[in-house]
Amino acid sequence: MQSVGNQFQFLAVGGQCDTVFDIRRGGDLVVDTLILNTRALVLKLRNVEHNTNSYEIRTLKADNNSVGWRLLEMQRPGSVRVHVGGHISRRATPAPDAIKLLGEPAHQDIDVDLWWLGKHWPAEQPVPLTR
Amino acid sequence: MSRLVYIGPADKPAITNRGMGLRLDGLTIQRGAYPSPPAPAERDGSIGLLIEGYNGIPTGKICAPQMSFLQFDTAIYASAKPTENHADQNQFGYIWAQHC
Repeated sequence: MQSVGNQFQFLAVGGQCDTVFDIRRGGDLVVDTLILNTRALVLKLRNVEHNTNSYEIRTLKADNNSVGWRLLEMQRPGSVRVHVGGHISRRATPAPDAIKLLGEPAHQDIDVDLWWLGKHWPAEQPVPLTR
Repeated sequence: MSRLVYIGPADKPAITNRGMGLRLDGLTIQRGAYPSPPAPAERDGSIGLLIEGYNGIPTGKICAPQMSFLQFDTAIYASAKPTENHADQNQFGYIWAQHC
């Protein structure tokens, strides 16, 4: 989707799913609650040269069937704002490349804080942000 | 709540919205028979809800308090077809996407 001004109050994703939000040309998106219960990529950002690129998932729950899930994949460099909060279920280990960023960090506002196994992910967990 | 089973071809979305300000509520859209045992949807380009872009009158502005999508390749597709404009400012309440 182009995703200009779209809001989801509650979105549950189950069964087989490759990508939850496939954003082709930027925009802004607010999700109040996302329940992810499958191994999927949450945000695929294809071209961030257009529009504002602001993506906010206020409460993400990565449930136990989502082992190997990924949060963010940028396919082209650019400025983005990504804010994600919530928690990860005990067995829902993210993929090693769960957050893939491209571009200049000075023009990116990445704030991801998910509670997992008594710690903050990714700040206190072994799965790092990759560039 | 109503559950509709869509049996159209993959290149025809179950619902196409070309206008502005639609309200969709209490609707479950399922593509074909639900497989038993459950199986992934075919990745053939099928779409549950297409919100079309348009160069003239703004499109989109949908309010959908509750909807479910089952067995579509893509549950909701906004804009880019046929143009990149509008199809925006949509608000979704409780959305369930299963095998999409």
